Amino acid sequence: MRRNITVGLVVVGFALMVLGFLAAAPWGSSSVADSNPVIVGAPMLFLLGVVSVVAAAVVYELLPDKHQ
Amino acid sequence: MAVEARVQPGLPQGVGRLTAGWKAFIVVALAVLAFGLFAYWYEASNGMVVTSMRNTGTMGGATWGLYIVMVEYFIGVSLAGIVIAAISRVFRIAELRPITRIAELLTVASLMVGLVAVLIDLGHPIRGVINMLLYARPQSAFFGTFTLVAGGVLLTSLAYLYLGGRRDAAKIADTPSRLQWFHRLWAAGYTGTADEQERHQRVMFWLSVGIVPLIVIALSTEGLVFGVQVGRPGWFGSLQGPDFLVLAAASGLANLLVLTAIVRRALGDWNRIGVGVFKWLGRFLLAAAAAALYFMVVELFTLLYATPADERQLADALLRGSYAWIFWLSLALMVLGLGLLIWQAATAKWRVGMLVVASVAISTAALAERYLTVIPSQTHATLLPYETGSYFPNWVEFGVVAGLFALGALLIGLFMKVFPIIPMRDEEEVTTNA
Repeated sequence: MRRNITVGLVVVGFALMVLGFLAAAPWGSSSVADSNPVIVGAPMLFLLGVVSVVAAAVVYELLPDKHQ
Repeated sequence: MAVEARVQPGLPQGVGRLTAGWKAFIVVALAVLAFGLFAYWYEASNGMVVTSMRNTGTMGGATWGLYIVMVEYFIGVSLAGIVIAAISRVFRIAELRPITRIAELLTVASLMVGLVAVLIDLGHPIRGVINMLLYARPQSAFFGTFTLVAGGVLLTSLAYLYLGGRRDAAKIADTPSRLQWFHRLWAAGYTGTADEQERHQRVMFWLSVGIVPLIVIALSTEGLVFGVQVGRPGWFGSLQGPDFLVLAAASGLANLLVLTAIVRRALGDWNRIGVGVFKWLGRFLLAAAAAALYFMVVELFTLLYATPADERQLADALLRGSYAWIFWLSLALMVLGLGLLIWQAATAKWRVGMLVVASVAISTAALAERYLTVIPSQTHATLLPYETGSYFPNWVEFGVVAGLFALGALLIGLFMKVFPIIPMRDEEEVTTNA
């Protein structure tokens, strides 16, 4: 349980970081006039990914043992 | 070998006890912070025109002024704390263990203050934060700076500080006091079983392993904010990243050493933080300051040797122009600090007082170096045919920056009264008869 949640948070976190990083780039346009990210708010996804990875460490340590 | 339990009454290390000296410190810090808030209110009400910052080129000024200098300085200071804490854990350096929490706290406080300085530099801070979250671009060095520094390093450092303190929180959570709820909350059910300890060691090890490369990337990116600007002589260059890192290490270690000396004196417990700690910090600082001086000399040599006219103009401004007094003061202080450290290393006699003097000299030199990195390239090194400009901060900027220092001092001072700033020894216990 503890391991699954931790691994899940790390995987989701890195996936969000990659997605946020890629989606924050203005792909398909070389014009400076069209410089918005592909998905508006993509940088927030990147930050959420960072939060998720850091949270994994806290969750791993804080989740109580089964017998408690 | 049997370990004798050291039992002490009440909360340890003066936690929860408000002494006259501490109250005086808080009053002074709050007064300076209030002045800083007033200065910022004045700036926010009347616009940034009340500062000395002006457009580069057309108005002959600098758009990045003292606030950005302080961003670079504070974020640089954050480097050493968490790296020292991580090194101490990964390599099990027992001598450094007493200062791991001081180091983590310095990192958290300086990052927070540095990020506040970024917001203060924006005319519309809230709009800046919203637009960053919506429209920031990964091609920009700023993207790395804000996401890695604000998101990654600050969050990881907070997690590090929190998890690292759980064991001590559990130790003092049973002591009746007004802070008991806080200590119980921090302990979060920690009981010290073998499983918990093993899990804790594992988490702290991986956090330590992860945070060092993270902070190196984050701070190198901070240097790249300047290093990738091809149109700005004095900034563009591959040395900015490593130079930023090395100077960050020197200023961070210097501040950590001074803070450790202050904590040692405030607690009056000379055994808990022995001279051995200062020896370690002094040696680290010696290496970092020597590297920083090396970078200063290499950059200066490059700037002087058969450079284009714009670079030469910048070099003249630094060596004998309007920035000369800052440049030579910075160099003299760095040499003085380094000299004091070398002398102590050579004689193998480390004195805390002399180390503090060396640290203050090196930290001031690093601050001046940050100033010289940020400002002169805006006023004296434009590729367009503008006249040379000038910039010197006014009372508003100095007031805001004084407030930032006070905020950092308050964060650390308040922490010392709610939680033990030195990790408690394994054999240490507290009784409930406070």
